[in-house]
Amino acid sequence: VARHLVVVGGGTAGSIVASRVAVDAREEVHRGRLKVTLITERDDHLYQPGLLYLAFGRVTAAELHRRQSTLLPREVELRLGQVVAVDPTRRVVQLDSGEEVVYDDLVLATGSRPVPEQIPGLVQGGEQFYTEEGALRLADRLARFEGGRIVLAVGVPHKCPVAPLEFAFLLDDHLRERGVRDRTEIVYTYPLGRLHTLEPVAEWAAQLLPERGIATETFFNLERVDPERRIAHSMEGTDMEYDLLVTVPPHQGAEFVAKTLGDGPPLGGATDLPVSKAGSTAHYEAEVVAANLVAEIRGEAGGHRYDGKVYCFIEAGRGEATYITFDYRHPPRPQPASRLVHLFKLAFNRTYWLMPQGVL
Amino acid sequence: MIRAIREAQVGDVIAVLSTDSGSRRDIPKWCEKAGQELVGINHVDDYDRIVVRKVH
Repeated sequence: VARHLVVVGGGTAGSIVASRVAVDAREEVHRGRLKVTLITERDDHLYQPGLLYLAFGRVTAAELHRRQSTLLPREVELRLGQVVAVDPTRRVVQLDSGEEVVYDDLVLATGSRPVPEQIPGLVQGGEQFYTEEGALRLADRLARFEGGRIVLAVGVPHKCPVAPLEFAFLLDDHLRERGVRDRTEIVYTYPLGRLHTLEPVAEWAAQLLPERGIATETFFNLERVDPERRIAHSMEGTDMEYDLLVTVPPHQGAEFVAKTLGDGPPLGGATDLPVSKAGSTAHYEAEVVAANLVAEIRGEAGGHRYDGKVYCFIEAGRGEATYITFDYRHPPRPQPASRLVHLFKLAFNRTYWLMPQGVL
Repeated sequence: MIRAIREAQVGDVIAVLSTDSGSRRDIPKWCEKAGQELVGINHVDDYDRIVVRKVH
């Protein structure tokens, strides 16, 4: 009987784990000793980091999608359905159709989703670029924006921690290109007492934001939004008037995961590790889990541990970008932004599709 | 900590246990700005215990 690995979630982490295990243990799959199944809701894979570019009309929505079935190696069986529960004692995953899938090994990679409804008034009063629908609506509003005050507010936890900065810099570019920058005030707010959670990045941003004429406000945690009067109220007592409010909404994991924790190793956005819920984090976590699974299937030692490694590009506007790389023990050291790193990021946006295939 | 304050009732006391040396600097600054009460900070074993009361 084949050992059955079930991966729940067709995002970056789930796809990489399923593909890597299936490719690395290809022989076991072909000999009928291992079966790899990936369960996800739709035959669709969205490149989520592309939503930032979609909000500025720099890419089309179609460019951000591939069919999941065309990405996965043939050794992975794709099963479409929504997981509603996991029963660790019977080692069974339950689908919304009522079907059950029995597993030997389970990986939960269900990610995180934006929950703007956690903040009163935010759904009506704010825009966001964390869903395709939201990014398209924001793109439309930005294309018609004729001046005023744009406030950026950041909820916690969220996915990529550099996205708020990237949004601010790309917004500055976008408004300049449209000739409305001189009529627009941009305010970048942040929940902590500095401009970014990572101190070296906060220092980097403290130089670049004022250079671009972007105002800043720290210790700004959204408490509620008044959509009619267009005021964002913070827990700290600051009332910020806005013409356009763009938020990185707070995020939350899948409901069934909260009930099940303790069985399969959660990955990517579904974890409670002290790291971001970014695709890069998910990627490095997935490599570790895949290596451990392959070792276990072969009866080898495994024992690989995730060391907190993350690699992030940071779009800095003006056709330039920088990057940071860090782990639990080594803080990042942002370098001056350059044209080359920006081009590298654009190339990465295309090469991403090799990753869920288990190639890169 | 901010999430805990958000979910707490007025009058609740919240203790943050942190090994990050930045916390003993950042949390009092936040309390001052947000008008919440810093009850105290003490060092226990290898971490800081920072206590805040939600007053509004």
